[in-house]
Amino acid sequence: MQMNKIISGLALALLLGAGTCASVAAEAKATDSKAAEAAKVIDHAEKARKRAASVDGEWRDTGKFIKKAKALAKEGKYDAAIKLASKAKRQGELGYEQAVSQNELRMPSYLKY
Amino acid sequence: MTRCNKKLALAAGILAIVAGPLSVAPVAAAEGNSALEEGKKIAFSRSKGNCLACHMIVGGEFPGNLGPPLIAMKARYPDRAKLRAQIWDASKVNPETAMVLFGKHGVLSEAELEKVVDYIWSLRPISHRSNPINCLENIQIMNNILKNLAMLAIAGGVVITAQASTPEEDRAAFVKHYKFRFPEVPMEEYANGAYAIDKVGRENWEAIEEFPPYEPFIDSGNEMWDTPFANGKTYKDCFPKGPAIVADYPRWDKKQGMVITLPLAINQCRKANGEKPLKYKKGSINDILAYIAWESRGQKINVVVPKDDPKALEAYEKGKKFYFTRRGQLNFSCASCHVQNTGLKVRTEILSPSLGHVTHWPTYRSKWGTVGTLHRRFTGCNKNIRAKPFKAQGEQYRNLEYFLTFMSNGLELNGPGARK
Repeated sequence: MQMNKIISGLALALLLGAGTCASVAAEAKATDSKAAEAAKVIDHAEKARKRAASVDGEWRDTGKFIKKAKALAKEGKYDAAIKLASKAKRQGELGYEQAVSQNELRMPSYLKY
Repeated sequence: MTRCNKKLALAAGILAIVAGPLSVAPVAAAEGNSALEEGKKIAFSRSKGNCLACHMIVGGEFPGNLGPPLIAMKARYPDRAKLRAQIWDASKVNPETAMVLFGKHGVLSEAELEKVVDYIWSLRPISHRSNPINCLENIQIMNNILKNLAMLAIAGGVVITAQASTPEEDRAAFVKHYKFRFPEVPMEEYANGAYAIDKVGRENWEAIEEFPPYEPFIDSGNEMWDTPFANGKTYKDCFPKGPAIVADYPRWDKKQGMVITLPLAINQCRKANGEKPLKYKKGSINDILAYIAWESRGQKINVVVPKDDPKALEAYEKGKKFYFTRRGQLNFSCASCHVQNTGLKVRTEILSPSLGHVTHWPTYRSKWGTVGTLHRRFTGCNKNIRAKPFKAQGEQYRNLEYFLTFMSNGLELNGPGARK
């Protein structure tokens, strides 16, 4: 009876330990995945910023957002980093579109020749 | 249940039925008001909607008048979706709009935009019966609407591709535009920049000019001019005609294949004589420029785009393209403010004409608390419209200066200047 109790206790402890390990492993995997996603979005944002800059279309805050996103990722705040980097990426895309849409000089109608 | 209790129960039931909706309605109204208040807060915030920069809104202080007053919005936009579309991307209706693309360019988030739309859509007509003082406001509002409609009529709203115009033709178009816009302002007055058209600002400026804040910089610059470099040479050796040399710049340098501005020439002189170059926005570059500008007062601007080098015209055209290109999150070009909407107000600031923009540099700006260069001003302007500024004395700003200065040909130099 005593032995049964000991064996049951050991089994329970093993199960709990295994569960905890699995949970920690899953958490670590999720964190790694978020970190990787953050790094990817930041990289895309930087590419978008450079593309805009290549056509003189970079906006004022894009670089600052990327810098801040990197700092957030370093602190482990991946969701916030991803959100900010996505915003920076969108700014880079918009800055590029804005510049190339005006590749050809168009004189406004309010200036009469 | 006794008869009395039955009556009480009935009364309580009736009360519950009647009071129930009444108890909900004030909460709903309060929630509605709270949502509108949130929208108003975003609309009024300088870092968010900043609607007051361009529009008069009842209850808002120091509004601009680039856009029409925001009143009777449901009458003007019976369909809320159309108002939302206008605030999201005004360029869909008018490609030449000066309105910020609040949604398309992410200036406001979706949630913020919805709240602002709700608030703006709620703005009602102003009744002069309820407040006689508003009668005068109404007259002002109508005048502003008429002025804006006139501007739109002038604009025509059609963008055309650039015809092959010469620099002189461009300049003639500029002069024609400002003559039409400000028929009472004589050409020579544009040398005073914004104060050619801002009567109140001009009075303040004339008072400041009695004890000019740039005087110490002229004295310091004079000393710099006279002090030999380590090798014994002076600025006079680089600039034999100096110090009155502002009118010689900017100019096209065929040998270097680029536009040379005065600050660039000063640093080229320093480098040639083994001296450290000066920074281009702040610091002692402004001292020597202030002295040279002071000595050059009265000279007339005379920029030439030489015909014997197509690269000179190319640089001019690049400067012109820069001037008319929209940039930054706020989507303005230089022309948006200084040609299209010159004379109108952003908040309380009158937008100055580009004619005369370059006559008075370097300039003591009250905002800076010191004297600064033209390219420092360019970087500030670009930052204001949320564009990443370019390098001072880099190719973009030198070409811009080349174009801008050509537009002011014939105007008298009067630097250094004092401005807000």
